[in-house]
Amino acid sequence: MSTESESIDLPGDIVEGLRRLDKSVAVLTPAVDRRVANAAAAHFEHRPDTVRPKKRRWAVAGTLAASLAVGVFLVRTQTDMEPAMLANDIDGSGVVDILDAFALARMSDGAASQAQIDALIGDIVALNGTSP
Amino acid sequence: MLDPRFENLSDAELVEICNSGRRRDAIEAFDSLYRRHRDYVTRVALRYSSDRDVAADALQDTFLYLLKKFPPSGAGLILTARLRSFLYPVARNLTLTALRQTRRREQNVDLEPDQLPDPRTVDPQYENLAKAMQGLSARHREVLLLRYVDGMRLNEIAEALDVPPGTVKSRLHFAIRELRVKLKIV
Repeated sequence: MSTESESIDLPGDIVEGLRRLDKSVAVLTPAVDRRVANAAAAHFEHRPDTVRPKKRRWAVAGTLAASLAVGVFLVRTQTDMEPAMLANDIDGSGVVDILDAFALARMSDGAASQAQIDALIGDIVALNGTSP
Repeated sequence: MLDPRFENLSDAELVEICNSGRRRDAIEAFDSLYRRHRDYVTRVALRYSSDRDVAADALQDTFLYLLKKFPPSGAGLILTARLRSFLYPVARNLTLTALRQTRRREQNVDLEPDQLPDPRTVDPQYENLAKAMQGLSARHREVLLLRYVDGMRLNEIAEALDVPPGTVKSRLHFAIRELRVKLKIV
């Protein structure tokens, strides 16, 4: 098949004119915005909700009394650092979720191994309560 | 209010969150997709109908169609090209369907876009261009807009129109040639 560059082309001012013509009509859609947002909320209603990793840590700590004591100590003394201390909370949001996997992949610019990313995604899936 | 963390994600990443993310994330991701492509879908609808109500309905139905692709109702969406290549034919077909249902006088609504902005109401600088575009066949007009306004590559246009790339190239070639003749461009 031939390449695109072999096609004859349009002058730049004509292309600019086409773009301006296409954007010349604006439509405000607040009612549609609401209906789509409501439909999305209903559609995803039965997905598992956000699970704070803190709960998972507490669940583990609940089985280990010594870990529980350390956890209580940390919460009492460093509450303002809590979000930053969450393991794998790459974007510092206070929640470990799929956004952290994307952030890790982007931030590392290829430096993070696929295994690291897979491990993080596995952790996220586990937090979700579903098997990988 | 939109979560700013979603604004920097690609369409493919947002789609992945809609496929398998948790409730709150999936809602936010879908909302981001909607706001990112809302104006585009509206513009596509308005290429085929000058009726703004029809365009608004097509906008809503296009995103409801997209929504149903995601679990639990759908198996999930796998993007093989840009999301716009997926949205374009949906918006186009829904608009044409709405036109068929709502217009009483139409004789040739099939693939015949209603109109671009009326040449009498456009910027005088582009009046000749608007008239020339009106004079093109629907298929030629369509492929020109996909290529030069939407910035799609040939293979993306082929996917959006569900035709072979060679057909796209042929239509584009003749559309450009016809437009140049109408505009008296040597």
